[in-house]
Amino acid sequence: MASTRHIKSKINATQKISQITKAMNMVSASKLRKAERTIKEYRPFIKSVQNTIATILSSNIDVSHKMLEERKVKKTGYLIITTDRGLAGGYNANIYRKFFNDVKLKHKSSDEYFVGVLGSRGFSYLLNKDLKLINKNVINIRDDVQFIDILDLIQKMIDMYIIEEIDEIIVYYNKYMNTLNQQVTFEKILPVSNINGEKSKILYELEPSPQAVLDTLMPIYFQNVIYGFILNAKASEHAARMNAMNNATNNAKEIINKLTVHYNRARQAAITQEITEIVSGASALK
Amino acid sequence: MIKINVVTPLGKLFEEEVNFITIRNADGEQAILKNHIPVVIAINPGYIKLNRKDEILFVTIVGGFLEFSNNIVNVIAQEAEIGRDHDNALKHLEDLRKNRVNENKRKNIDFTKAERELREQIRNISANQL
Repeated sequence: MASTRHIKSKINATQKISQITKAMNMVSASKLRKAERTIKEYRPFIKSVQNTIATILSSNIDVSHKMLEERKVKKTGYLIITTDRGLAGGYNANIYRKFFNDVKLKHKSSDEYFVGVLGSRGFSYLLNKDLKLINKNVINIRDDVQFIDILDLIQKMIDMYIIEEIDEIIVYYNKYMNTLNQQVTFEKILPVSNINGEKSKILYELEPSPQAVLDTLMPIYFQNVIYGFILNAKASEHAARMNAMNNATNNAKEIINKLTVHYNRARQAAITQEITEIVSGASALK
Repeated sequence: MIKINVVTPLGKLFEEEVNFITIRNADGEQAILKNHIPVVIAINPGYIKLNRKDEILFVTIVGGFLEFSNNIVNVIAQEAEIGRDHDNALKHLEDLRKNRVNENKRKNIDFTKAERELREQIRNISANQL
């Protein structure tokens, strides 16, 4: 049996780790609340863009935009939203698994698709895979993610779509269901199939021209749809980390309990041995 | 009076009442007075001049549009900044973007350095043998 001092130090170490994980759990909880608030602030924005586009499309028949037209899919662009930091349970691993499974079924070789990846974890993981990456540098998805962080990649993907290098764009992310449940989901975001905005009854004058307004609006709409996905993914990241840290704290408690039993047993054995020694020493003197 | 709301993805930026507004975009300048017909104007990039009784404010916009109806102006923009001066605003927005990229880079380097140091220290005290 291990010495009591050895067990004691192990208990102490585990206790310290559990304190850290507990603190991380609480940090993630507060960040989750913040992420939810950001989503709430973002919603009216996308809603008004949607409404305006719906109004323009319904009142002008002769406008068109490449981002609204379906075409035969030869090459696909994927956008994968991962995290910057680890310790979020199976958050990133789930995305990779789902993505690679789907890709294996859909494509014959990696020439048929391009991959854009957000988040440094995903970037360093996918860098060594046999993939055609769109971004050559890490794109950070910080906790206070801002629109300008992702702008370059999104613009590049839009450009690729416009010059028909890719014919559709699919996004992979962890959808936030509730704090205990996040689901890896994929959604086709380009071509834009349905803009479910409310059509306004007001007849708008469009300056400089309906086509020009739509040309400005479509990229904005698309960029913000992606921004919305990122905010959602961010919320599920915090939730996933919260759960992972909660589990870690519980596990640490379990280990501490087990070690305490061992510790007490070792202590008792030592006492028993000591008593035996004293008794046998006393009887030898008789 | 016209009511104006400026909204960005980060939330509402600005809400105010003004006398009239002047819009400057790629095509030139244009003013909207009270009871103008409903209009949607693309602004990419450009600025909106808010004319009030006592002061003039500029809303500089990169990638956005303006929607006017019932004497309410809704400005939806990717990036927007409000100030008394227009000339510096565009440059400021660009600087903001550049700084952000640099900051991200620096943070990455710092984090990787700290991570490596931690790994080294763990190895040195052989904590995994505990």
